[in-house]
Amino acid sequence: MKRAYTAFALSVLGLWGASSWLGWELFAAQRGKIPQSVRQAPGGYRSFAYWRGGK
Amino acid sequence: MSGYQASCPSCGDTVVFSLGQSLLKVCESCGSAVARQGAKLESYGKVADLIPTPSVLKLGIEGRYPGAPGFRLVGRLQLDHGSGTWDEWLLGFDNDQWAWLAESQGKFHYMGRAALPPVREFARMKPGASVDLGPAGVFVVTEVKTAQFVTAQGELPFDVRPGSALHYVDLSGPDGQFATIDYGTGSGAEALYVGRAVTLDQLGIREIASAEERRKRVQGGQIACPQCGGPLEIRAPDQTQRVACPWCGSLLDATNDLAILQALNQAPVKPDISLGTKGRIGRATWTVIGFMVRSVEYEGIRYGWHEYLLYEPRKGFRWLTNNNGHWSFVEPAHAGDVRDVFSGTARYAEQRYRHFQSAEAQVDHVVGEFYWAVARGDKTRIVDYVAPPYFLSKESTPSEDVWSRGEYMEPGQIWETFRLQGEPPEPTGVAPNQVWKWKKDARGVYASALMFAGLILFGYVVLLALGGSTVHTESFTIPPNAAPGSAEATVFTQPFEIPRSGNVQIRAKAPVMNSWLYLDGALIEESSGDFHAFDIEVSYYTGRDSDGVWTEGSDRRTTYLGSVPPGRYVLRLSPQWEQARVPQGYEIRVRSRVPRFYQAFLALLAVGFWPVMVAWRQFRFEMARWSESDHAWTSE
Repeated sequence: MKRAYTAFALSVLGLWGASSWLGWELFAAQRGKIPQSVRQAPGGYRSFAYWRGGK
Repeated sequence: MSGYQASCPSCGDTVVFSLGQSLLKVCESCGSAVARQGAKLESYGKVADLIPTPSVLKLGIEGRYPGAPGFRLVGRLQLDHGSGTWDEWLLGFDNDQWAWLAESQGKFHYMGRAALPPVREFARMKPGASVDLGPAGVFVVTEVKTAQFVTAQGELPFDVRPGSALHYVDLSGPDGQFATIDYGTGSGAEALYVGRAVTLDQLGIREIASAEERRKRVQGGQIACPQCGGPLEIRAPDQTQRVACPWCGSLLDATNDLAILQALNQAPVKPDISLGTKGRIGRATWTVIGFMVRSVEYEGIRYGWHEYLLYEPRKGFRWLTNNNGHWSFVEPAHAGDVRDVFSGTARYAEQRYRHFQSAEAQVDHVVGEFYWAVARGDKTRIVDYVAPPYFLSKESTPSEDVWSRGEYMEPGQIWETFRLQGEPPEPTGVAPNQVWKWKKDARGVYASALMFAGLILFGYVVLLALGGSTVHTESFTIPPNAAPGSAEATVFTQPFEIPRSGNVQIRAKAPVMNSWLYLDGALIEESSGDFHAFDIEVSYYTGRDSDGVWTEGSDRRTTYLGSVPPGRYVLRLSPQWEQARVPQGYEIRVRSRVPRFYQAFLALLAVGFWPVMVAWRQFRFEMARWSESDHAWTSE
């Protein structure tokens, strides 16, 4: 039982170390990519219209 | 030795008192007990013949105890307290001093005379009572009995008529000491003897009585039951007092030519381990010679268990108990070494035992041989203490306390030791002295859990010290005429570098007072166009009610974005606010690779969950153990 627990606890430590190192978060923020066409357009990603859904 | 010589008043033959202090001598010619009363001799009449006992000693045997003068056995006293005769031998030393050597069940106790402190009178002595014996220490009374002076041989240091009733109290002291307070025929203490168990080797006794000189209580080997004619095998003829026929159950007196004490014509309970079976436990090979079924009654229900009497000629007797499939090997415990028997605990051999149960036990069935005058229906008061894998047990009768210590044995170990057929029955419930099978592992798990928890806390402290660098800070004002969420209010920060991948903490700070500021934001990587959307609401309210001043919220709020790769970033921030309360502005701070406490906490929970479950199972096991005790944790 002790060996199994040690393996389990080492896994937990590894998971925690990885999450700290890689910056994992429990709830991921919404991610996206600004299309090339928008980035090359005048104003690029700074255009208000893009962030308001083109309105 | 300074002797004294005179003529026997009965037969006129010469009687020699080899010890100057001897007061009674059995005349070798006529068998009369001759008492020395000053210069005068008086005959107390003929003494009875010696009772057959298995003693290996005889008068005239010489020896030497380390540090003491040489001695010779000069007298033999036979006593009987109703359930058996035993021998006490008088050792006459070369310097005219004397001591007793008590012999019982193949064991010897050397008892020297000691100064008698004031002690209670005989009628006020009770088993279990503590008695201060001065320099020898505090002893505990184990036996309060009256024995009959049956007969004697040689000379004795007291002047008592054979046949007299002699009162005595046996005590057990610290470090293996024994003591006897001799009350003689009266109620006041007359002498104190203190000593300890010895072997014949320790006494320097090389010569012992021959087999022909030793008279056994009953003939060993195969004999027939006088009740049913069934074959009986006597395996400890030297020690046996009672024999229970395994065929008809009749109880026979081994000290009286197997006279029938209780005739039965019924088959007794069949033991799991047959009589005569041998098995090696510890350093000795034990033979099963007796079997008992005993029980206690609780709320009208009898709960029984089995006890096996084991015998080994050099070591004496031991027990095996079987209670619901749980086995224990039981050895005698020295009562004088049992300490602190109060408040539900007892201490023995550096171990603390907890009180488990007190009950009156009864003998229901007996089969085989027994070294005491056992009888069906015999009742004793039992007090059990436990310290798994051991239990400590005190069995009391009105005149005697007997302590023993048992150690738990796995059923498979019993089957292997005695080479029993098949598989042992599965034990039911939890035995009082059963060790939880995961106990050792559990300790390892608890220790490991502490170590891993320490590692996590230490790691978190290291992360706090090393992590969390600020990569950008910028303040913004909100245009006076801008509408919430409008293009005029929306801003982008200056570009900033996030050097290494990791999480990102974004903190917004705004001078809100009973109002709020909401930021709809995105962290945008300039070259790839990848973005993380987020929002932050900063709000702060305060007021006063019947309880006084209250506040809610804060002027700052943070949010985290996970797994942000390195790159050149800008923040897009689109603020909204309460129409009537336009905040002057706000400040944004961006930090990279910030240690997260909740992750360390989750790791702690994870490494703690397993030991908590282990502790819960251990708790349930202990619950089951103590539910059978006088100290049940739950009432049903």
